Amino acid sequence: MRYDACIIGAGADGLAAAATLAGRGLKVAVVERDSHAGGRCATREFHPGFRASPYVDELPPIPADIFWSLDLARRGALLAPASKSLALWPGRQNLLSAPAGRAEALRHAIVARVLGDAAAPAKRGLFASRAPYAPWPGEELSTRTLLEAVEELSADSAERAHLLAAVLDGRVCNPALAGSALQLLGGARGGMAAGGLGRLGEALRTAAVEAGAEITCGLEATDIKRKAGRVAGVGLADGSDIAARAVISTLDLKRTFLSLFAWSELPKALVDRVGAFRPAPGTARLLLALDGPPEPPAGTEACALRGPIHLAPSAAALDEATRTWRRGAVPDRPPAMLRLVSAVDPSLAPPGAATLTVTLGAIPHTPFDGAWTHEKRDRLRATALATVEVLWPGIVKRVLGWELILPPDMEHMLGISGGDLTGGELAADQMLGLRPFADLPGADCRGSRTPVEGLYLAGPSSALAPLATCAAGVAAARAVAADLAARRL
Amino acid sequence: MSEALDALVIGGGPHGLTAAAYLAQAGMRVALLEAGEATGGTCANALALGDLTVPAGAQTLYALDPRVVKELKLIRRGLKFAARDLLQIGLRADGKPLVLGRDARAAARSIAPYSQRDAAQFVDFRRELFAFARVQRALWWEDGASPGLPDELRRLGATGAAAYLDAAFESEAMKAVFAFDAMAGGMSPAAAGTSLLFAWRAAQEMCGLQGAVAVPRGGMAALVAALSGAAQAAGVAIRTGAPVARLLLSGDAVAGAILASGDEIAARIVLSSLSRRETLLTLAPAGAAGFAAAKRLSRGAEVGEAKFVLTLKAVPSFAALQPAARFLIAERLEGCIAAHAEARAGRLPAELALEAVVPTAFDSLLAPPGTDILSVLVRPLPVAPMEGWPKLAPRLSEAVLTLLERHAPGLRANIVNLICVTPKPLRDPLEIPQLRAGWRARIATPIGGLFLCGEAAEPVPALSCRTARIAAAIAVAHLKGAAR
Repeated sequence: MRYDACIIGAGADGLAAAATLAGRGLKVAVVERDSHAGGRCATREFHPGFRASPYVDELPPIPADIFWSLDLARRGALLAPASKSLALWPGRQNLLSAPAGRAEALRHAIVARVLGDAAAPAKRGLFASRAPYAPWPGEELSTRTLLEAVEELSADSAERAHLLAAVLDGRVCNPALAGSALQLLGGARGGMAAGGLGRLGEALRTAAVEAGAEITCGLEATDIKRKAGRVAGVGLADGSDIAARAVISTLDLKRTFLSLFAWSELPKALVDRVGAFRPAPGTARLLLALDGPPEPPAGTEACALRGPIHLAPSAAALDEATRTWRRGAVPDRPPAMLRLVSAVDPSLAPPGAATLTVTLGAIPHTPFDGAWTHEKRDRLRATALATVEVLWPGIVKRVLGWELILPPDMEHMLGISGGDLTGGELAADQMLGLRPFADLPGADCRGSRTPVEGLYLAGPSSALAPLATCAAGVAAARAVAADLAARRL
Repeated sequence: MSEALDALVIGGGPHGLTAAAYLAQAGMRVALLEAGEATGGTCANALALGDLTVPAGAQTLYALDPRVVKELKLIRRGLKFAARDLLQIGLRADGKPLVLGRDARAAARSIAPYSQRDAAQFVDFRRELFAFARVQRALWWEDGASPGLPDELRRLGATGAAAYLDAAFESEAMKAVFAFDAMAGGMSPAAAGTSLLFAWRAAQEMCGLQGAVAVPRGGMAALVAALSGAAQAAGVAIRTGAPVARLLLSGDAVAGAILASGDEIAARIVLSSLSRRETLLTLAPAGAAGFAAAKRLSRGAEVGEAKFVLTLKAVPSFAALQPAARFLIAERLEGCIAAHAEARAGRLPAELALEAVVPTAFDSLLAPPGTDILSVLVRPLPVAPMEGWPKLAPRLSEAVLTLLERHAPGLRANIVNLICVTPKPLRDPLEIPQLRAGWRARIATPIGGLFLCGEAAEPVPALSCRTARIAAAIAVAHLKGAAR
């Protein structure tokens, strides 16, 4: 049987794409390597009775029209509004509501542009790149520094440091570099899902299944079959094939092109670009089970603990951590962001107890002195707990159990290259129209299309992934639908 | 106050002289005001170094505009080149030097010991840059409005030099050779858009006098003499020892200048070869540049370069092999990124990048026999270090000499005199949008009739005199438009 589309990966993007395509009456198959659908929309018990979303606490927002068209609210995805964030320095703190405004408007404009590009059928051959260039919304950010951008938002130096951390949301970068202002686009938080992100994943899965998509878990896609230059289907780990007219990959750029194809089959310009795509600094997650809700730090109200808590943010520390990461070393004091997730969602901890997650920035996938060992893991955990203890005393003695998730663990569990959740550094040459690649000669790469005819790229390396959840998947689905309707496939 | 002049040019360096000469050739009545006792600016032999005098500024000409040479008859006025097409030689502590000249095969041979792949890649790397340069040519020759950034350059315009080099080469040696040029203008090699610097360099090489990097016989002063002859012959009134205190404005337009002595000189337009920052913040009345522009300009460059000039008793060993070359020293590209961050924080970086030229190796006129001059540019350095330059300069000298000694053993023992020129505080920071803009956007200012004609309006800091020629053309067009 030949499917209209085969989707590799059942994460938020893959499920949203499946639901969109199946909802239009197309035959869709989804293959997922893991034993369950959801990808990073997962919630896990890491200590008896204590649960947390292991990879991230909050995803970027789901665009409202996609949220409602997939009917996610009725399917149990309830997202709490994003709370204010707190920054703690020795003897000082600052409470900040999420900076809205221009960045928000730019994100909307970019999502609208990609979705619009996707809905127009592909141009191939002669007409591929003839259209005059239309500047992207937010393109002017690519020559500005994040420090400048933040200076415009606040006059207070502590508040600026807090804004930097809030915009980066656990990521790190050198905020004094030209182009770092683009990080503003990636700084949106979509709110925590009631019951953990796993509930959101379940809602997306239900939406896809109810629309008629077939989801197969525990089956890894190993290669993309091609016939006469265009995509013909997906080869699976068990030796079978799925024939499909179009394939949407929600893997990251490197996995998609370097592991699903033989390099020699692809144009050199494409392989070069994929090879040169730079990863973002990795993050580590420390999940902590606490025997009771911690006392708020002196001078802080309990309600301030509902949002992200940034520990001693500063521009210099971010720069330092980024450079340490580039050397392949583990920072002595990694930028840390805490979330008392059980304060927002009490179901994540047993009654009377609490769950705290710590997101550590600038953690290398493989340290320069060799792979992660138990000693190195223990040292990182001790470092993280010591950092927390300095600014928020009384936490460490409450810890009942913990789990540390490092970039290699994320790579193993989610199947993303280098454990890089961002899917590639948010640098000027890897954002907007250049994410994941600029138009290559003779190919139309707008709206999640790729130079390989019939292959569409959603997933973390796509243009929309840092800005919004599900949007990249929906864009790919719309592109597939448009190209099928125009008989381009 | 006498009758108004047509144009006033501020600054008697090569750029100011060129602009004044062109304006006078176009039939304007032009006066040139120079603050110092002689013309030449940073190219004049103004620094005493033992018995010699040396210039404080540029050590090589980068792509001197051939049209300037021809139209101002500079060759007839005595301009000769001691060396053209200087080889680019990367000195390495861990192996043989990399000789990157025009001869692609020879270049590949010298790269091969470091990496076979890079040797093969170098031809493609250069070809790609020249392809970008061809695309940019419209932007380069264009005298008027900006055609914008061509499509092909958009990706380059977003890529950092470090990322571009990382993608092109695998060996640290090859990346490090380009580290010095990647820091032109005081940006970090990791900053988005800095790879455009390479494309501009290539464009300058293509459009400049054959042999992009050149040195005039007799040093930079010879160029100044030729330009100043051209300006005088065209009828420019040159006033030296006349520092400008501020600009005279009438309404939104410039009306002349007031000298430090109190003299007022009325003129219909003014061309300034000073930096944008100095022109708009120091010379123009407060508020004339507009609030946003003033705020942006007040930031100034944080990272700059220092110049060292040394007189030696013997030619340094590296220059004995290939005299007509610019020698580039940088250990690692990654180290330069870290160094830039250090410099930005006001500290002396642990790793430095140098460009060394030995002008006496190919020009015997510069120094008496038995004496050699070594001229070195050092990047990246803090413009305003925390401890102040008087304290930092000796430490920097020590660091630079140690680095030089490593590549030319015995150099230290040969030093007769040494002089250090610390980074200029009034320089404009390089802004990437400027690299993408056309000439007009860089030359014009918010004040009507006031134009920049110096290095501030060059896309990439370079002594090409092209800016001055185009600024003069734009200024003449402005005057004619106003007359109509």
